[in-house]
Amino acid sequence: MSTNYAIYFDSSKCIACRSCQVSCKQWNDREAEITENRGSYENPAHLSSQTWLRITFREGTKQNNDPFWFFGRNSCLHCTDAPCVSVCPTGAMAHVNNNYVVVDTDWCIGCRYCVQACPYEVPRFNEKLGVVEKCTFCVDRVQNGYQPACVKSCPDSALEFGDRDKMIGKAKARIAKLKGQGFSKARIYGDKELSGQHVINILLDEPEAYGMPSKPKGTGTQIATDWGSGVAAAAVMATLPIAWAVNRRMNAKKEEK
Amino acid sequence: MSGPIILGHWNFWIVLYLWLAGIGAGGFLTAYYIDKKADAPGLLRKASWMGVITLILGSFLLLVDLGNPDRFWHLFVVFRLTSAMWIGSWLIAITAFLMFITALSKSKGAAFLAAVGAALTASYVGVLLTISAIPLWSNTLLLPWLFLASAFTTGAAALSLSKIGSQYSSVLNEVGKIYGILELIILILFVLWSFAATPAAALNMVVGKYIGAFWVGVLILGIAAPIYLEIKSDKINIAATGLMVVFGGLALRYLIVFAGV
Repeated sequence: MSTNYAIYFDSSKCIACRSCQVSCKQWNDREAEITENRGSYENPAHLSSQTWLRITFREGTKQNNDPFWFFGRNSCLHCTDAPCVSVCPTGAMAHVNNNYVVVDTDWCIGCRYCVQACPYEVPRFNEKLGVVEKCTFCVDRVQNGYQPACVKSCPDSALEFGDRDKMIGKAKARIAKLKGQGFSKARIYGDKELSGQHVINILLDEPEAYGMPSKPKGTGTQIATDWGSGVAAAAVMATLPIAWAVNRRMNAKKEEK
Repeated sequence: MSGPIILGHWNFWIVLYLWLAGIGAGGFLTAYYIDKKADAPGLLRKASWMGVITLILGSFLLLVDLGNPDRFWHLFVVFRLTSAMWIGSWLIAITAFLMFITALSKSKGAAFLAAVGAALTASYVGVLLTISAIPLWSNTLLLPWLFLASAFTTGAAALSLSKIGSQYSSVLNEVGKIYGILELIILILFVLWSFAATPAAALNMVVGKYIGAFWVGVLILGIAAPIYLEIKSDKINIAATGLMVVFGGLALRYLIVFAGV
């Protein structure tokens, strides 16, 4: 039995040094990219096949005019009910050990349905290789008993790694402490979302403040409602109006004759 | 060092595919119902060939759009019912085959099954987009309805442009009119629902970057002007109306795909 792992990210402790962003590139052999100064420390503006992890910067003032500066972690959350896995037509995007999500780049055909399906904008297309790439949970490190590269390089305790239940326990204790300190909106993200994710986030505000959806749609519901609407549309639109239109005109023609 | 950041969103290849699949499926269904009512084997054969060609051409465009086109067969050696794209690929392959049989034989059974396949295909291209995280596509359930209505208007218009279709211009005109009105109603509902669910994307579509595609391409050229011409007179300029409708269908797919991502 393999352990059910999770990465723990505490945005309240993150100092946005971006060591994780750099070590991810180093360990995974990702190329540098040309980016633009957008007036923010956040760089690059999006994940890509060469950037599997980035720290997001959101700043502004709250309603009471207090400033805020939120640091978020934009990378694969390794969902249990993963939209990317669900929509993949070849099975190249799949769970490893019922745990993290890895794309088999030898099997991926490059259709990019996962790019459209991920609520966190994580899978990205590599034009040179013609496949989609994303965070692998450092499967090559984890399977050999090491922490993921991002966790290893974190200089404070914002990133940790271990048994998922233990990480959730840690998160709950941290939330209780943050609430005691006056962070009334502090919350866990990832313990329940999409049937539970393998990255447990500590957020200081609503997920939207970090650019994450607070209620990502489960794949089962989405498949049922969207195909339901699709089949209903076919049953209604391709029968009654066309039969009516044809009958109306053809009967009129017969009367003319 | 690599160049500008590539995200990998769908682009004009999928626009053309959605458009072609709609024309083929809608044209076939229109001819199928006319043949059922008034015995029009010539028209049905024409529509079957048009369906075969548009579906194969559309699939070919998707193949070109793949990162690794030589691996397309991976899709056909696995069983993945959760993936709309997997279901749709089989659906289109089977429907094109059934249309091919219909074109060659006079099998009523094949024609019926091809009609079912065509209806599901025209709807599937909408489902493909709704099962996603793109707000404009996934926040309403109306894309299959919108694409089906447009499949009929563009399919009937494409048929009316053919030689044999001109013999059926009055009934094709009627189909275009009724589905044009339905398309208009569904489009209005789609825009209202989108405004409620995802205002930013809806604004972008109606008054933002895609203002021209929406008002001129989709609404005026694709829907309003043809309906006006179809209602006004039976002696309309069929070719001009047909071309406007077919172009409007392309504008609709462009609008939905590009305003979404």
